[in-house]
Amino acid sequence: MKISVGQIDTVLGDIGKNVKKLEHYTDKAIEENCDLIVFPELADSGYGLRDLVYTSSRTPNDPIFSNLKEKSNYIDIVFGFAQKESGYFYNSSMYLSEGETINIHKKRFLPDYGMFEEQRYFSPGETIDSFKTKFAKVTTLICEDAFHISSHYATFKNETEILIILSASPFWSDHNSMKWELWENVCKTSAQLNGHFVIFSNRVGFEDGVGFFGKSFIVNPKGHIIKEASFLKEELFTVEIDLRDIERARLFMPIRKNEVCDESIG
Amino acid sequence: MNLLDKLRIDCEFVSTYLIEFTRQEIAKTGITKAVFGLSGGIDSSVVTYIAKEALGKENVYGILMPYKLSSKESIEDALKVVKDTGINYKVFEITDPADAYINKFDDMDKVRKGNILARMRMITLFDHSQFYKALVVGTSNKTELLLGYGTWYGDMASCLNPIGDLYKNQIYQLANYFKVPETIINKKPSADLWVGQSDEDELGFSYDEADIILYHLYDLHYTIEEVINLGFKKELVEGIAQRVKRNQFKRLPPIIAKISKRTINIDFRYLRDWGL
Repeated sequence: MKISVGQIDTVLGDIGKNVKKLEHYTDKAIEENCDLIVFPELADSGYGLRDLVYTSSRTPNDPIFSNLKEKSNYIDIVFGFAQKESGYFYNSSMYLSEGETINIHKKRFLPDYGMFEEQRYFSPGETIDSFKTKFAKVTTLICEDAFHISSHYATFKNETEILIILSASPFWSDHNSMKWELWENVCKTSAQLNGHFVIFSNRVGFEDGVGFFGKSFIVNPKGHIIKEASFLKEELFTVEIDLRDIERARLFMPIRKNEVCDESIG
Repeated sequence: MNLLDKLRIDCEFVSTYLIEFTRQEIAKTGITKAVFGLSGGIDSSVVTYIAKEALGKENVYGILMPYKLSSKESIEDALKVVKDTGINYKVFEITDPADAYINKFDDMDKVRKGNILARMRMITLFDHSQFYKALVVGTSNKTELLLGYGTWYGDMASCLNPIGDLYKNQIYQLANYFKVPETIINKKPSADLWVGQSDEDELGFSYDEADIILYHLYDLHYTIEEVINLGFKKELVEGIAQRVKRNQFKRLPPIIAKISKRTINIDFRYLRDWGL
């Protein structure tokens, strides 16, 4: 299976321009014979929406996504978007395949501490579900979702094969840590303990001084990063993965086999 | 562990980040150039190296704005940075316009005069912003922003500031990384608003002390008691905390009386990069 990550920058609140960019990179991934392209969180709208959330949110059936749906006949596409539903707003992801929307995940854990104000504008999703694609069993998480251990417990329980994490993660550092180390630790650990691939797709660009660092990567089920994108640069990267690695990892460490999962968690 | 070690930054990543910040935040406005005051001090020198990398030397304008009491070394040091980076520069003496105002008063204390000089420089920079079609890049560091050691709508005024989240100690780390001329790194920091002025003498404490105290109080959420226990005098820690609190107004736009249901910056909330 060939996977692309579209590590893009966005124009804040300009859905038309951003969706055009998603189409552009999707075309490039199709040209490279990729099976799946993964874009970041809020890829159609930009991150720091604040009051723009009211005008920048769309329903999944909005015609603005028609071209992307059409392109999903040639490649599976997943991207973050600001979702509108019954007067409420969600920080969501949409998975398109064979011309259809096969999954919508609404971000469940909305950060509202430090610089974050998501819970002020968005409503939280209620579940973390896996779904079958033509390639594998997939779970999609959005940024903060992945900092909750219950999310990884959900992927453990439902035996996810590819965990996709869409992100708009801002850069920070101090004398002994860089932000991406947190992401690498989380994703490697999740991959190792659950025996699945992790695709981490993080955006780039600046919004009012906040820099999204990029460095998107893919971790194999043994917990190794097999490809990583650049720091701060918009780019498309492509990598071939072997889905049999999931089975190989689970043969080596069949952790899930020996646990009866707690249905009340995750 | 030396307390200052906690302020250590990875200069390679931080400089790349600040160069990209400067390049992208300027480019998205449709402007390609930057202008800023070049004092010969450490802060504007570091900004020069960042701006040159971000925009190319031909798109960067450093304005030297001496007053009659400014030290000659300041000009010499600023010119060393110009020579080393190859940016455009201009010397614009502010003595005449500043004195035209100052001389309207029989007696003026040095704080008022200092503010007038800082604001005269602000006028010059924002005029050249329009003249060159360049954005004004700020050169205030985190230490002086937190202490409020600057003139509101004077040297604190800018369109964007790459170094406002870096303490003075971290500015020195970047200066060494960029190989800023040594005379600039080695001299005592001064606003150079009057003869013999020294930042540290005027503040009553060293930048290293201020950086450690501020970093623990605000970045690490230490209490005042806990910072005193690191080995600082009670009066010093309390005095610094008091300065930060008293100067909060300088770090924000003016407050607006709320009347409607949507008041600017209260519940009319958009980033500045709206649509950019």
